[in-house]
Amino acid sequence: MSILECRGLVKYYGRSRGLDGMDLQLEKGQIVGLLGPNGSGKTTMIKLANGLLRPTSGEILIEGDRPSPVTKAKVAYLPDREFLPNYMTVDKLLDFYGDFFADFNREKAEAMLENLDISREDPLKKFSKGNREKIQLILVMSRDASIYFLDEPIAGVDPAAREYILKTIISNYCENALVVISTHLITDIEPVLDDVVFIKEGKVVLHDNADNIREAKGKSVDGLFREVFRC
Amino acid sequence: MEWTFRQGTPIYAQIIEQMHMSIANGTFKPGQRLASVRDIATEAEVNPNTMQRALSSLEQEGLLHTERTSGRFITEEESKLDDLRKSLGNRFIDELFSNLEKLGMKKEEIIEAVEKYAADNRNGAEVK
Amino acid sequence: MLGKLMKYEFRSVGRIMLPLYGAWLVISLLFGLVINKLQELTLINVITGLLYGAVTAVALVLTLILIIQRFYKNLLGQEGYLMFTLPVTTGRHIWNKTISAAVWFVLAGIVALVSVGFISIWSVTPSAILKGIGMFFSDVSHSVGAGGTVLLTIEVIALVLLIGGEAALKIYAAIAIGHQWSSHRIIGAVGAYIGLSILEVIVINIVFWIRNFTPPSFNDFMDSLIPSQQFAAAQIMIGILALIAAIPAAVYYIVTYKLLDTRLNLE
Repeated sequence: MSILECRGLVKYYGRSRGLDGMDLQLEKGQIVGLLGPNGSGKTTMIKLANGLLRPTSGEILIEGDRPSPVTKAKVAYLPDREFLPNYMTVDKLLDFYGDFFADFNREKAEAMLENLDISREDPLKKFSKGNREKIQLILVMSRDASIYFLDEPIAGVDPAAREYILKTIISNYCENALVVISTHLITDIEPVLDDVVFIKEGKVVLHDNADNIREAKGKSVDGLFREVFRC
Repeated sequence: MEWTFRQGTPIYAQIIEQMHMSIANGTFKPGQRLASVRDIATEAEVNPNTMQRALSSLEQEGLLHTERTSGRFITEEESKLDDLRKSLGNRFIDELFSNLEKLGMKKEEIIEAVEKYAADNRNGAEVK
Repeated sequence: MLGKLMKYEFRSVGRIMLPLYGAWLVISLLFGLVINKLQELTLINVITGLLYGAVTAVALVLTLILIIQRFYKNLLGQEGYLMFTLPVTTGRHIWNKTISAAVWFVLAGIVALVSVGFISIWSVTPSAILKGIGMFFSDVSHSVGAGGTVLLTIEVIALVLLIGGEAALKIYAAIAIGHQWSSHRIIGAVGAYIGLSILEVIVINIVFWIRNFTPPSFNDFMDSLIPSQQFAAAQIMIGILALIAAIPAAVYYIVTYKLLDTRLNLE
């Protein structure tokens, strides 16, 4: 059984089609790139997987189950925005994650925060934007989840932070988990990916191993992407 | 160790290339213990499965070997290391010949040019 | 899980309201002291009086604002990306907000009463106040017995909480309805609230028209009964009020639940 599966997944927003019949199967033990231009359906698919949206038709399955509190307990989501209550201290946020997620590894999070010299007593709003984003990343990656969805984790981020984020993602790799990275900035992220999935206008147009693409096409995934999505 | 990757060629192949160089030039010493796949992958900022694929290939070549409980080690067999240096060296020499032939030089001219260059630029002062 | 949600919910609201309640009570003590010592109308009187009025207004308004904000911001704002990815059902989230709102509504009322007590505490000794309260309760137990008094007290508290919950659920349903459009959501929510109020009036009129019912005078009715009947009548009264609150509450809960569960669309 695939760890994540989409079957004829359709989502309409009014009359516009967020997803237009998506079929996809992803296996555990991989870091997969969900690649496509803005508005192609990447975030819609991730929201559907997290139960933040209901499909118009078709289904999305997490280890065979439809999204529900049961699947939410094993899916970790890092949205492309700030989503934590700003007034809470880092320490209270650790409490919060530990309270609601059985798979949260507090020691791991504390170690990572200490590495960055982040004081646990300060409220989130006291930190710089970069640090707030890192705190979010640490909380999400300290969960021992079955699937991680990272939506644009390195967009708008300085090179030092980018390195930190990529290294965190790789060192967190677990052969029983799937990591899905959704982005439209491919060059920096492609060495980290096993498989890549190209999404165009709500459908999957390509699903292949990154090194296979480089071998067969003689170009980077980014190069192929530009070809496929040339207006 | 500094890792740099080009576009357009598979990363596992580039890892193998860079590992060849590092083993041949002594960056990795014979018998040295390698960090875990995940640690090396993190350092190189590449996918762990890709790193694993490259390391397995090196293991098949006999340049690495795995001890069950203690991890991966660079080979200590001099013959293997010699073979590696020789094959890398031959590749560079082949590249030299290819490039100079493209400039129109013949085999004897190439050898002469190399000897002259060595005499003028490589006496005493060792380039590290 | 509901307990954990409520723990954090209480903390979020408490960190603002509890200090405010503290200030409220301190100012009422001050105000009471001032008007006790300075009987005539002086500047200090007026200032402390205004201060008391202001803090009372702020506390009541802020209670309402926070109840709205906790639902709107925490569930439908950016924090929704956190809350709705918790392994918790939509129903739990709504119950959490509703119970919290009901409690804070009631607390505001209680603190308001206590603040009035604090004002008069300088003129009327605490023991006199307690005596007055005691007399009220003994009058009641005279009619319905000690056990009956306790039961009635509990029922009244529960009823007040139910009414508070119903008020909150109506607000939540309105917000959830207004959220269905991608722009002008606040206007939509206000419009929905007005719409729901209109619907309530219509339904009440239909009910009265069907039953041909005109409410009698409550006092005359009670006076015509003997004590044991009074207790039963009070129970029935409370029961009817509870029903009048519970039915719309259930409807608003269902509306809110359906919208949040199947038609959620965070920014």
